[in-house]
Parts: sequence; structure tokens; C-alpha cells
Amino acid sequence: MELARRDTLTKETVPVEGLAASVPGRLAEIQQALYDRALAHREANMHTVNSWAEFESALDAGGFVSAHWDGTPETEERIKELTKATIRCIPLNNVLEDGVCVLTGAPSKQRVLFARAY
Amino acid sequence: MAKNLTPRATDYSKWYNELVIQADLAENSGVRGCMVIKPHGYAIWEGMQAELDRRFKETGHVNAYFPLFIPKSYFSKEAAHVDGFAKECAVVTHYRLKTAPDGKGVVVDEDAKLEEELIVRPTSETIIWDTYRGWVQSYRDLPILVNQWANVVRWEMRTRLFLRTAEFLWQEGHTAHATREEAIAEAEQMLEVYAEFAENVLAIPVVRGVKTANERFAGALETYCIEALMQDGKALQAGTSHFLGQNFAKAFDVKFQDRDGEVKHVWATSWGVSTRLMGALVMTHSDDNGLVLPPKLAPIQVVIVPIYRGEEELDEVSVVAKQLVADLRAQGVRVKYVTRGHWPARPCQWGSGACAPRYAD
Repeated sequence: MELARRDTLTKETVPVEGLAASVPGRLAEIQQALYDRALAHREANMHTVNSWAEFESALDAGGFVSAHWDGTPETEERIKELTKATIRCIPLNNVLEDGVCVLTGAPSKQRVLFARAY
Repeated sequence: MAKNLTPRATDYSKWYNELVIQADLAENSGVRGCMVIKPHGYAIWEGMQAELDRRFKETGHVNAYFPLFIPKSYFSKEAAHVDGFAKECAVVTHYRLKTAPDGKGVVVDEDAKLEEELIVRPTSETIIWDTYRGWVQSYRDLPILVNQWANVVRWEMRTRLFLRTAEFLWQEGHTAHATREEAIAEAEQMLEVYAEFAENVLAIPVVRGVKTANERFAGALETYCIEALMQDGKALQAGTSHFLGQNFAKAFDVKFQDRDGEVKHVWATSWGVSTRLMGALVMTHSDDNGLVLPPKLAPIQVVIVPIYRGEEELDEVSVVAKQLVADLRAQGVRVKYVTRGHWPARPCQWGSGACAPRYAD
């Protein structure tokens, strides 16, 4: 038998014997591989920035941009007007960290995640 | 390989639009902004529903159903809520048609004007909290842990299949609690249910977080969310869970007598995910050849194709293939055996995790 995998487009030849029994395991492997690939993509596109120039170029590269924000709705709105990026969320596992807002330079206690979004 | 699919690198947006059509998931309809979900797309949505519904029930929730129409006056009872949704409401003003004066076609019968307009639900907090007033008197009536599977309408101007449609399918959970702490715990629990579902079933990693005040749900004190990253580097909100405080209980006068004898307002949450997840699923895993589905959601997980010369060989191959089908089904694998003449034009569009074993010897 020839066995083809949709996610990797790979093929292998396997004996009929034992094939059926191996399928649930193979499907679980594909499920995990898809997750791992998506996670690797996200990790590769997770940018941590500290200046406005870095902020803008990270947004243009695509992905999540972790940056300090002064906590005001005005700055959030201004950043949206300038870059079309919104604050996607304040991550639940956030570690508090002193810094300055990428736009205004005002003090900030934590980073938030920006991105252009659907 | 897919011949007419625009590669992702050329135009990601075009790739997505073409893929949804080619994979037979959905199509545009005669109604602007409203989609037809085709059998293949609907089967995947049913898979999501089954996985979510099981998780809701395991966490103590039950399903119910509330009306599609909401009296206009209900919306104005919660100020922030009406502000958030007013601009995208479909409004029913009449209830009857009549033959046009010239005898051709029908027109709205002006005599059949509703005294109070009805809003097609954009979300159901108002109608549900109006109902909960009658369900809650004492602390013994709490918590209420109800979910509804339904369609909702939000009049979007720029629409895309699954990602943004005027009508979409979703579930909305609406819970009522005696204490603030219990409601917050519920909102956080449901966020975790969504996150676990996204990661283990959709195979989409998500960031768990809270929204800023600007981005919060209209009427919420806190909006928890899961955010995913698509292949083009844009983010997609994949689910939200809201702590609503006592805003809706106060707006709809939902009170209970607590253990201490005092009469108090109820605490609320709401949470939802929609057919937007279909868009997230496609955009996360599919490639330039077409649809790729995680096996847990693939309506067909394995496709078996006989490869043979002549009828005699087909008979021989079929015996082996049919045994394989039976063995796979016995293990709960969703399998399809495709014989000559039934091979689809674009086999990859099944998106199945594994496909096409071939009889080699």
C-alpha cells in the first residue's frame, strides 16, 4: 500500500498488515504536527520592541508586537490611526516590568500585545 | 495539485477567498453579506459544535433557546450595550405583505406596521436578562448556567466568507451568579474551555488575555479573549468571555434574596464563539494546494483509492480495500472508499489528514 499524508505531502509504502491499527496513531501525529507548525509560526512572529521605529517595522513584518503602552485610551487610539494596529490583549500570564510607552514615552508597568487584525 | 488557486505569497486574501469556494465550504448568496454554508463546511462546523457542546456540558451548562426578535425598548435599557450595537442592527418594522397596486409582485402593507419595532438579535443579553427576572427569586435559583446555539445578525458593510458575515452562527453562554467572585471564575473558566478547544481540537495556539477598556464588549466590565496568529501575520480574535458585573441585572431588575436575607442584584457572564472559527481554521493550516484540516475535525480522515489495471485487478484490490475500510471504521476512523468515476476534480480539497493508500503489489 502507498500512504500519502496531506499536511506534509509525503508518501510511504507500507504493508497492508498492521496498517489499520497504525492509523489512529498517525492521525494523532498529524494533529500534533499541525499544532507544532502553527506554534512555531507564532513564536517566529512574536516581536518584542522598545522604540517607535522598531514598533513600526515589526508591524510591517507581521505578527504580534509586544510593547509598552501608557495605559490611556487616547494613546491606544492614536496608535491605531497611525499604524492600523490594535491592542489584541493584555496577556493573562504577563510579568510586570517597568518601561516607557513606545509612542508617548510615558511610564508603563507592563507590555501589551499589538497586531493588525481580522 | 490545485491549478487555479492563487498562492499565499502572491495574494493571501485572494488565496483565502478562492480556497473557501474551491473546497466547497461556503459561497456567497443572493443576500448581500450572507453566506451559504455548504455541506462540507457545515460538517466541519458540526464537528466544532459537538466538541464544544461536550465541554459546556462537562462544566455544568445546559442548552436552551430564546427568541430571534428583541423588542427595541430592551436595547435602550443598558446604555453601553445599545451604543455598541445600534449601528449594525437589522430592524423589523412590518409583519405583512400585500399585492402591489399594479398587480405585479408584492409590497409591504403599510397597515401592518408594528407598534414597537423588533430587532433581529445581534446578541441575546437583553432578551435573556429580561427572561431571567422571572427565573430568579432566591439564592437557591442560582447559578443559572445556560448556553444557546443560534444565528445572529450584525449589519456589516464589508463582509468575507466566515470571517465577517452579516448573519453568522454561534453559541452564546449566559450565566447568572450570586457573587462577583463566582461570576469572574465562570468567565475565566469558559476562556480556558475555549483555549483548550482551540489548541487541542483546532490545533491553533492561542494567547489568553484581557481586552483594554476600548476593546471590551459593550456592557462588560472585563472581556477575556483568545487571540490567534494567521499565516499572513495578522491576528484573529478566536473567542471571548465577558464578566458583565451587575449591569444587566440592574438594567432588567434581576434580584435575589441571599442567604443573609438581603435582596441583591445578580452577577453575570456571557461568552461566545462563532463560525468565524472556520475562517481561522482555514487560514491557520491550509496551503497552496488547498484545504488542510486537523484530523479531529476532518469530516473524512482517510481516503482510500484503488489503483489498478482492468476489472480483474479492481476486484482483487477492492477486497483488500473494503477490509481496510471495515478495520478503520471499527476503530472510529472516518474513512471514504473512492472507486473509479467518483474521484473528485480536486482530491486535496477534502483536506483530510491522510489520504490515498495505493495497492502496490
